[in-house]
Amino acid sequence: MDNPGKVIPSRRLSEDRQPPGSAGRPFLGYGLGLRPDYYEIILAEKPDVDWFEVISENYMVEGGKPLYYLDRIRADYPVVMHGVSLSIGGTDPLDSEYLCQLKLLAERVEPEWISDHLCWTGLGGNNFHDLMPLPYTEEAIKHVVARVRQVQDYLGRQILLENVSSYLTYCDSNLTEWEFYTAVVEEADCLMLFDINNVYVSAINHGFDPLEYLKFVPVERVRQFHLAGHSDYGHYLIDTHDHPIVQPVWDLYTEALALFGPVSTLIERDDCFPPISELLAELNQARTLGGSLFSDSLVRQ
Amino acid sequence: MSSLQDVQIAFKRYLFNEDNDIASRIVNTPGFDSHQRLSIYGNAYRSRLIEALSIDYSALHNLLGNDEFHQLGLDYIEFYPSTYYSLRWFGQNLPHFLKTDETYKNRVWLGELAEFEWTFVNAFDAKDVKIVEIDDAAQIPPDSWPGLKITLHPSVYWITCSWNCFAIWKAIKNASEIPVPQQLQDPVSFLIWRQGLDTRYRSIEPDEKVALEAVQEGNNFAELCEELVVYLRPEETALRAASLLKTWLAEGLVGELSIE
Repeated sequence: MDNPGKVIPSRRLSEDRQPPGSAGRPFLGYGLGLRPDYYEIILAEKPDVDWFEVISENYMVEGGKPLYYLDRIRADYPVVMHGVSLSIGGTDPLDSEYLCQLKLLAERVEPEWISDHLCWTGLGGNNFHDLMPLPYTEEAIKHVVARVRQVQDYLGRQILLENVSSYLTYCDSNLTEWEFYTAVVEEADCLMLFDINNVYVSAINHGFDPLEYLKFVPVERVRQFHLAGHSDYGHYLIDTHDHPIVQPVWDLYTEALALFGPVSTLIERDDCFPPISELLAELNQARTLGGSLFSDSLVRQ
Repeated sequence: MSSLQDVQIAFKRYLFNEDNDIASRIVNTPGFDSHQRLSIYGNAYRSRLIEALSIDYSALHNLLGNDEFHQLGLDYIEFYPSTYYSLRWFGQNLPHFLKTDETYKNRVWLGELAEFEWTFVNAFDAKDVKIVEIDDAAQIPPDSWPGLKITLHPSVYWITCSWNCFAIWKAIKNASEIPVPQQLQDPVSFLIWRQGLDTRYRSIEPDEKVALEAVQEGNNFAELCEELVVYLRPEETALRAASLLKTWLAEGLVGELSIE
């Protein structure tokens, strides 16, 4: 795709500059989800954000503002691509047109990595535009693993899969979520985008101990964290990304840092957008937590 | 059929209001049963799609109010569930739905207003191409003009309204009093396009609409002039066509000029 004049920033850490305890993973620092409400202020003020994550589907368009802002912000910051429609657990064949668009966008953006969700998003040619839970079974593991391999072969790179928030358990499930997630990423040889808020939300909704989940996860496969807010409905939580991050999620994040070492951390906000200063304050809170556990100079490189 | 596929089919039938058989495959917990748990997905499915419609059709939403727009969204989802990987395209059939569904088709202005708004959506992210400037056109030798072919920028659209939906749309955008829907004495056409990053619009006269249609069909400048004979004396057509082209160039409507 034609993209003249693009300058790719060289802020990534090389393999020999990894923070200690990071299991050799690249570390981008602390990032924000790129959303249109913040395009102008990002270009004008170049806020102290180490990297941005973009929703891949929002840029699978032919032109206009989305690609204009994406190219310009990419010239100043590292970017990762995060998809919502791969439907890696779906039973329709993988959408070849979608994969083609994903690859084209990746050629344009040159992202540090590409992620999507461990879920299914549609059936019979219909997209539900929601992250539907999978049954935690050997059959589902085998199904997802084969599809991850297909996607990785097509893209020519490893992908990251994110754990989703869920609100129900299938009677068919005979594994825990963390056993299922771990089996998928290990057998498919892909990486993990570990969403701390989703672990917390699902822990409340299903009554499990989130620390048990954290302790089971293969540290070497965790490439990125997500932090976000949710909505509290009393006896259950919904992953809405429209509130500040709550203290129990910060606490879980601290536990995760201690277990996994420094992990590139991103704050997601998808509704009720506050002034960017509020998100930067949350980002700094994450930095402070990381900095208190690891050498700040290394974390901020 | 695999167990995984079986469970996904059952879940889709639940989301599509066909049956609740999936509930028997969901674990019940005290105080938070399978139906409550499933309803989180059912509500999220519909509310996300209706929210996407509201973003693309904000004036229509305003005109109908929350309750009727929500019902319209539910009716539309039933007929046109999303078949795209991006929500960008979910609303594309709404103008047609409004024009043909028994509940809505008698209020013709609803379909026209939706078509107006959807045209803005299409112009917003149409393909980027370099526009031709007036100075570029000045380089064309006079004897080449009859064979001149004009290619419009991909963001250029025009629509014709028989009702006062433009006045309704503008009143909603300006937060002023919304006029009563009424049929116009003569239909009015509007040009909608993107200039730089900004989406623009203006009304167009019937002869300009004919000229745009001639260009879109691949006619050259001489053939474009012939189309204008319906509205002008033959000796006036070339001047009018040149004037239109100059306006289009100034407004960034032209993506390419080529000589046959």
